[in-house]
Amino acid sequence: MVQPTPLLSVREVTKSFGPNTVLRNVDFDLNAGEVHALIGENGAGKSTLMNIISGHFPPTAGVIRIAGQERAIRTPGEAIDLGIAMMHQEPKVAGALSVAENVFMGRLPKRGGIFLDNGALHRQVDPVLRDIGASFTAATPVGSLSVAQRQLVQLARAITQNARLIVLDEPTASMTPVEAATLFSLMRRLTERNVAFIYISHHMDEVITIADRVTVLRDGARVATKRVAETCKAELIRLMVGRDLGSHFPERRACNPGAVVLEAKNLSGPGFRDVSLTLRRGEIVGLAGLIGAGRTELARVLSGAHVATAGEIRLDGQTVRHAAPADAVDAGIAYLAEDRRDSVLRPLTVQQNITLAARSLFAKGGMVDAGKERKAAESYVRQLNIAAASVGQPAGQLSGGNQQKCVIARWLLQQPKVILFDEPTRGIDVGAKREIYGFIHQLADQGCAILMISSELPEVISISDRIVVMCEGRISGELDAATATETAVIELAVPHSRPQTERTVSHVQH
Amino acid sequence: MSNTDPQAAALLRGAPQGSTSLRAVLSRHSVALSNILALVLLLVIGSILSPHFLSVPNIFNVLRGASMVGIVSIGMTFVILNRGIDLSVGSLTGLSSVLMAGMMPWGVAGWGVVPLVAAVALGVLNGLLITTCRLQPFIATLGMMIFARGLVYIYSDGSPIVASGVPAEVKALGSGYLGVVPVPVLVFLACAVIGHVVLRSTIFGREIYAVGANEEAARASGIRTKLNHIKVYAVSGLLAGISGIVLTARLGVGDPNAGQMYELDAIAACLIGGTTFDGGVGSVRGTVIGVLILAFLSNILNLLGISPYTQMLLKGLIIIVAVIVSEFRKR
Repeated sequence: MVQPTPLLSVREVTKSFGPNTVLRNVDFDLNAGEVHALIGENGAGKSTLMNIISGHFPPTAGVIRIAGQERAIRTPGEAIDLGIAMMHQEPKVAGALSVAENVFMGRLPKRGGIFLDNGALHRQVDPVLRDIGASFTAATPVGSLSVAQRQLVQLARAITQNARLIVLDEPTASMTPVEAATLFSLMRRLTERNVAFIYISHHMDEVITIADRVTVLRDGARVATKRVAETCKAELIRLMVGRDLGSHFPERRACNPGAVVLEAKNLSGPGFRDVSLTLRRGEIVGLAGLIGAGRTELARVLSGAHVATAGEIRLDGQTVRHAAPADAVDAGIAYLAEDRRDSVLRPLTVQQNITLAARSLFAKGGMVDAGKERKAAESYVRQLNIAAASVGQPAGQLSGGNQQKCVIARWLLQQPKVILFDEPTRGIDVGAKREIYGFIHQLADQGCAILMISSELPEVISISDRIVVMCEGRISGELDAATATETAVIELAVPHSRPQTERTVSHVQH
Repeated sequence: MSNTDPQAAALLRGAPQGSTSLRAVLSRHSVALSNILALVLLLVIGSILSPHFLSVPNIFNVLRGASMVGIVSIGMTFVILNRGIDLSVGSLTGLSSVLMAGMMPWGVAGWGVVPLVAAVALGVLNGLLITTCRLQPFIATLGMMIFARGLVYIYSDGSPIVASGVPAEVKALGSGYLGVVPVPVLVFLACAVIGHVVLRSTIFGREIYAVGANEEAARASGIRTKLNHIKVYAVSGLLAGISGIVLTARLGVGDPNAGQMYELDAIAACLIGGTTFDGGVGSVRGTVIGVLILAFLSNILNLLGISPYTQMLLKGLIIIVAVIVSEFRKR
């Protein structure tokens, strides 16, 4: 059988950011007119691979061939010239401009050299919009469109650019079932015109419905490429998560949970609905789920950063309403943000970073006792093994793991009753991860109640005592960590059938 | 599980000691150091160019002239460290100035308290506009700058208010000396010292740096960021009020145009002094040096008989060069 020259051929592509290798020798082929799904856990390297293909950053090693020719795609502009278009989950559009102006941004038709030719613009855009079944016209301001409609604007843009390869990143995340069905039939029509799609999704049902082939990434490496006709949902899930639990986790600790400290009752907020949850003294509860499942949003409400729209939060049996994080911190609830940029004060010293939350411990009448403060900071730098030249070094100069340790020290020092860790080890090297697991266990042993949001299944299973899984803004199940398997967690995390009503989940970007 | 191997810990901490610590120390102090050098260079050039420059009366004249903007600059340092901007300070100086002149017959409660309360109140209003109404600091304080100047003109009817029955202590505040040092310079110095201590050694100061460096992180760490913003603009208003009081004490009149352009000179002094618009980086010490650089520069140019027009041109250049230099230093 003669193989056709693939439209896109990725060979042995590797990408490293500093010491972290996020993609390892990945091969990926895409034929003209094909839909090739790309699946994997959060952090498996899907977005990195797509960013390389669409010119957002170059690979560290490896070759990309387009229609048989080796190409270096240095900028998104070059990718577009090669016929590669990317449809983002959160469309990047200029809200104040019209649909037509967004579709032709950067290459607007001119009249007399300088004037915008509005007539020509609309004449070119309106047929495309009709073709893709859009319910809006070229003149509609993009700001008035829904996220799903904005994705159609992106698609119209890709079509007018004569894109041969369109990357769709979780396109149905903010679509209703009807909109998703429309998108699929549109994709099928485009593949008949030889347009190829790379389809990234967490929804196995969708992958099986729309894709011809599927490639599974795990930990930055390609695990398998399968014809969809020759595989099934269960096999795909097993391929996604199937790995032995690494030995870099500390031993499971004996957990004797004490009294209930924090209790959420039928809590609703932006991005989640009707969540009930209890945290006990000395207990580590892992909160698993896919990106966009509402986990961070829940933590932000528990920590007072957002206000709940319904339900109640009880702390030590008392109903509390936190108007600001300061109220939650005063009450003994700490939140470590998902993004380290939201927790580290980069220009300030290690000392100031560590003593920030417990600052009042070092003050008398508002004046800080610098010596006492320095001693405390130094003791935590020692205790947490923070690699800093001195406590006077700006925190921004430390490595990611050491920055994260400074933030953990901040809370160790302040001694809250409840700590909400949001992805505590994201982007941190293995050695520092191990230490951070140790600190989390230590905090629990001291009687702290811990909620740990994590997208790394081995981490959730190995570190937690109990696992709560969220899916599409609701709690979809609870597992005992000692007996939980990755497959069991992911089955609760993956949406099984599309809900009939419009979703309320707010989708957070990676 | 703090199985901290002391040897490994020592190695980890020891490793970067040689390489980064010297660089860290340099980068932390180089901004201030280069500014001190620039100031010294300016003084040397001044004394070479004019024999009158390095005389005690000239030096203190320059310092006294710079005191009013200097006091305002201390407040501006608080605001910029907090990642804000306060364009209203000049107008608040003006308001305080005319109020003081008008309130002179009512004694200290009139000339001392009313101007300060008014300036602080409008500063608090700035903070409320920024936090509660979520206005950009630039927009809120631009509005306040025009609004407060309007108040000044309404109160003074657009012409200078001559203070009647000025008590001796007020005269001393404006034109007195302690030894060879003019009292306004002492007021500036006192404000600088207090400002320095507040920023360096109080919880409030720590919170200002934290909010400026990363408001989200500061908020998550339990800092009441809204209250912090309001307090910072209140401080800025207070210092503008003090500046207006010293100004009227010195001139004996409340000039409705007093304080115009102070906001720009104060921002320039902060920038030259190494306080960055990114927030969280800077110091009162740097700002004081910035104030002195601008003041002595203009004095030298005056002594050389260079026209005010050319002076403005040079001042603008120096601000831009100073910021470019500090940007390059960061890379």
